[in-house]
Amino acid sequence: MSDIWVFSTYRNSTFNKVSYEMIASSRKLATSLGGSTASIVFDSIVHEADLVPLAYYGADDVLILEDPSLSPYTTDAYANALTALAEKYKPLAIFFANDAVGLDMAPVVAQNIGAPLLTDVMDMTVEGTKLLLSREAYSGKIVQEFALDPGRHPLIATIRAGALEAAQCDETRPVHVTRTQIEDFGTIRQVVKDVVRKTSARVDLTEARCVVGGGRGIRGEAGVKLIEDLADVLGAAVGGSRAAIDEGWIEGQYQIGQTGKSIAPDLYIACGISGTIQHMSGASAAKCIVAINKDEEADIFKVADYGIVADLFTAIPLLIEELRLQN
Amino acid sequence: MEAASATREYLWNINQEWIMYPCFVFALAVSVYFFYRRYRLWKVGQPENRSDHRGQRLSGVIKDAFLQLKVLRVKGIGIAHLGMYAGMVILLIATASIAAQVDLGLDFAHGYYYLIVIALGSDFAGLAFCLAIAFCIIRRIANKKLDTKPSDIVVLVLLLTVGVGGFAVEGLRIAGAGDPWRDWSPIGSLVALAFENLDANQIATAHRVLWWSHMALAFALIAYWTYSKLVHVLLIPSSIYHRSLKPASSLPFVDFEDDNLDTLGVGCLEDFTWKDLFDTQACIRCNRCQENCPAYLSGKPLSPKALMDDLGAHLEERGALILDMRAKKKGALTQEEQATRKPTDEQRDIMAKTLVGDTVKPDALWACTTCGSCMEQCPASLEHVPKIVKMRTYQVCTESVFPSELHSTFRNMETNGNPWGLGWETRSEWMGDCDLPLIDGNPNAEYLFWTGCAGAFDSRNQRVSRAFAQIMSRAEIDFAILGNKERCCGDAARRLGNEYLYYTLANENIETLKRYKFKKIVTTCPHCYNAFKVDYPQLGGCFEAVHHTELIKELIEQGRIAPRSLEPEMRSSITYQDSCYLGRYNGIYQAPRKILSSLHLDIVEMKKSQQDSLCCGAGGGRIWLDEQETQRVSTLRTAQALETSPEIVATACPYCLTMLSDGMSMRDAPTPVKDVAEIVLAHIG
Amino acid sequence: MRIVVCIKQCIDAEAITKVDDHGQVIKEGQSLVIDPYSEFAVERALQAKDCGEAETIALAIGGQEVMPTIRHALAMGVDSGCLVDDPAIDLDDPVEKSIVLAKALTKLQPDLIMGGYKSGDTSQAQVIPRLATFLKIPYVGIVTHLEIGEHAVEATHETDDGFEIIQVELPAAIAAQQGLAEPRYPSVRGIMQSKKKPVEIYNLEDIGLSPSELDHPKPCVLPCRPKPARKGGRIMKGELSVVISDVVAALKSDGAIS
Repeated sequence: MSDIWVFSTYRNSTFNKVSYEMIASSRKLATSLGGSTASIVFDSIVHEADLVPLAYYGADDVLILEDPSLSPYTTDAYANALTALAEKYKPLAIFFANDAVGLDMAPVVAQNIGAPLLTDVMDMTVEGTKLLLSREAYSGKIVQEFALDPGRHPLIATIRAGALEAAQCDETRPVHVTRTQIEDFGTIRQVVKDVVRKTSARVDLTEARCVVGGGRGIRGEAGVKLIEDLADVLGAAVGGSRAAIDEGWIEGQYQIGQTGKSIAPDLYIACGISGTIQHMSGASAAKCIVAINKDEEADIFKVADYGIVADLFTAIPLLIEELRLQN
Repeated sequence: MEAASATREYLWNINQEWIMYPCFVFALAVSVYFFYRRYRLWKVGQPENRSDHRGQRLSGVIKDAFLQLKVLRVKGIGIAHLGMYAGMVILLIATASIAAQVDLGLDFAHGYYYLIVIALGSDFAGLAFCLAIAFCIIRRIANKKLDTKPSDIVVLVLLLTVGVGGFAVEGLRIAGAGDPWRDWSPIGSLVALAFENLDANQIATAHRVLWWSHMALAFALIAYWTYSKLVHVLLIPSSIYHRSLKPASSLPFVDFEDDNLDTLGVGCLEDFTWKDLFDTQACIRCNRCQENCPAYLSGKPLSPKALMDDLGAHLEERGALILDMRAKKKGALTQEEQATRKPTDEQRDIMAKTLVGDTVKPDALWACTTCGSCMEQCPASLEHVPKIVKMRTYQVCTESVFPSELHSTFRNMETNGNPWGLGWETRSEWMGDCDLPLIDGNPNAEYLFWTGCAGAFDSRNQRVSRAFAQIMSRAEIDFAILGNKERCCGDAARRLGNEYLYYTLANENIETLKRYKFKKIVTTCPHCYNAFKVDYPQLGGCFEAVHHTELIKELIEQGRIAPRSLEPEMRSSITYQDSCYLGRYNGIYQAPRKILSSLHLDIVEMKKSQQDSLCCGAGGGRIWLDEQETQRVSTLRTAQALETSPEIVATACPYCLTMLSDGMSMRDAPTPVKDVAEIVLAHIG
Repeated sequence: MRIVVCIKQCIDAEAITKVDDHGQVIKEGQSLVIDPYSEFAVERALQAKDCGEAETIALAIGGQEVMPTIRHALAMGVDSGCLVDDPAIDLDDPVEKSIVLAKALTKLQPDLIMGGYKSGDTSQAQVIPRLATFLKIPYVGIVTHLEIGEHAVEATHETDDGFEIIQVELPAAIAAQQGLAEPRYPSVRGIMQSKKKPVEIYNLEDIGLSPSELDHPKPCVLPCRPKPARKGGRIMKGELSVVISDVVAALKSDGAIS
């Protein structure tokens, strides 16, 4: 059996980008340990054809568990199942995405199998047989580093989307699928009363290469329309600061910041955002930051690569036009 | 005829004049009764000693009640009121003289006294009285903004009727009795001409009828006096007498060390002091407070006059019930009476009405900037601001109910000692590259330079701190700064009602400051200045405080800094914004102006300046509260500043600087707003 | 109903976070505040107390320096506090903290356990789920709304693209996310009363733990370092349309946009 597991969230017949990023990094670790990587997929129905990309991005094996108990998602069903599998196959490491599912399952599985857990990991380096993981703390002001030895104790980590190296797709790789079963899911104590999904046609915020964010300065629907238009031209995702979410201009799931999502795009255009520490801790991984704000004293200008001091209602239309011209 | 014998037959043509006396006594009794009802109501409030320093109190009464100095600040109605008041006083003296003559047998109402006081004096007094009242009636009809109630007109009409009636009676008497001294009664003589064509009988009858009706009306007025707004004649001299002698920005001391500390602030009507409740009755609804209130003028739901009115109405309703309850408690009622006196539904409703919520709307309560303009303008020296702050104190300290945006403001002050919540360790970063002496290295410095939170953390105001520090360095002043140990002075917390937070901050600051031996504190912020001057002494923190404009003025006068002398064409026209906490509350108007004129700048005053200056809108903690775009005080004041077409607007307060700068940028106006220190620095060689 | 809220003390987010020579974050001299996520949990518990018969307890681990944070919770209205103070506890390790809290909770016998889903400083998001697992009780994380019944609770769990409403029976653990409840500002009366409310102090023995039971596999903690400040601060000057075209050109040449 493979030694490094990547729990890959299966939804709408695809996997999120971070799964592939994790697989790529796990491969490096697996190689140095003399083992292999496996992608773990849970659902009530799994189509084997959908699993191909996992292999192409590096998974030596795809381990699937198909059971009606696995839909809808419940902590108990998933955690109990993964615990049972981990106890059976004894992987050296299990990686999850640092998303709602990952944060839900990882601590429970870690507690069950007695493994240390590090969450929101942003960097993974292999040093011989040891693994160096780093993450940020204190609102992104401190970098913490940890050394683990998977050979001695299994470890679990949740990985931030976009933080690890992008995966390379190799269509020549063989696809190896293993179906597994477990005896008992145990009592499932969570009763799911309702599931509400608010989908967007746009690319996922945490995976987008380009993100346009709106803050207090967008002042309502007119401003939201503007940043959406800008996002359309760029093929970008739309996010917002706490202020915009609190005012009800942007939906909560698109909040960028400490209590929201962390993004790591190539380009982040922050419009009417003052740049509080809580917001920036979610956006600082962006490679390039462009800030548009009327107030030249706003904190965001201290961290922006390109700062434009202007009213966004004047600047954004000009920007949209310029981008259209360039295309 | 000899002038010495000048007199007239009093009560000519009047029979059974004895009826007058019981009528008078009755009218007086009714008046006393109504007064007693008022007295009972204001006694619902808590005790407070307002009778100390009699001399000072009396001199205030002389200035503002007898000499009407504050009333006369508004010329039109001021003079009219003077006419009414002086007229009535002279008429009263005349009538009293006659009564003394007739009833008490004191023989002096004759001769020149008669001619000058009783004849001529009464006529002119009466004329002034009637003209003044006529002016008042016309003014109330013409000016819709006066919020005239029917009773206002009723009172004026009654008074006018009595006045005119008096002249009619006089005219009839002169026509009927003949008067050798009629020349000394010019108005009466004029009126008498109207009755020339009546025969003696008609005159006598008319005279009698009018005399008795004049008396009836006058006595009715006396009875009605204390029920109506006319009671202000008694209440306003009293409110002036019992005014607070403490500095206008003073707030009551809340002793958190006191284990028996029960109520914090004012939660219900009876928590107010007797003087607070008295104020609501003494208020004459002259509207001067409202006309100068920045909250009212910017369209917010607060009016100081309406506040007094609403509290007064609340007192009428609730006061009686409270007195009842207290009587019950004291056992003043028998068991039987108690049983039958169960509260009715209506009474329950009245008692259920909350002070803040039903009587005073929260939006109104939080709209106040504590600028003090209402108290400055009030002819009765009423105390509006402390009532608001006391109500806020209860809301914050006891109920923990206040606008949600203040939650983080308070937390930030607690955690990092500044309202923005920026790390306290970054407090001295405003110095930039200038290496300014810290107090630890120079504990006996002459001046401790206190920047205040804005001067330390707000980038615009940091420039003011640096400018002033540079001026002091050039003048070789021995100063030092507190550095990161400086915490928010607590002014905004206190005015927002958070007495406990203020208490914590103030005590921390006092403890820190007491460790050093500097002589004076100099600060660029009038709110910090006021905290040191007025608030901190209550907690045992007595420091000598100086505002930076006072120091700069001194430095210029002593020649320690020398402003460049500019050619007339190069002199800029400048207007100066009086900060409420510097000017109105602490009397510093001239120092900044003297500085600006010594720089040879052309000062153009705004229409409302000095005591009448309009607040920038930031005080009372309002800078931390949300304000709707359509209701910005700063917009108003910026417009007023621009009316003077200045090239620069000068300020001496970080709030004014921030608000007026915002105001300018909202209008895209290019006029720069600068602190006096920045202007001075630009002008010294 | 007895609700125990697990609270944490953390360094104020605005503080300049410093690292000492050994690579440890310096706590001394810093403004220490109640962790904001713990505070959401405290507020929600107090709301339950306001509505009905709930007894609330604030539970924390640490030394005397944590007392002001417990007092803050008491000032908000929590009935009593409980502090587990023992030098053998590694306050930076989520596993040790979870075990200690779980044992203390076993002693306190709550019907409902609440806490922050992560902390504002270290943000590991492990403690509540770990202690729930140790206690073998169900938990719901990232909770933005909670309906409390007599025998069960209904929690709104925030997901990446929406939310789910999950019901679990009591006893259960709930991990708070921003939006669950806006913390109240302690009234002065609350602050005064908090000084008299009881705070039980336990050591490991009191909660039935021996130091060896805290032993378990941990990551090796390497020295941490301050993250270098992002090099930004370039403000484009000039006429807006020119600025915009300059920025777009720069982004293209940087490869930020295609």
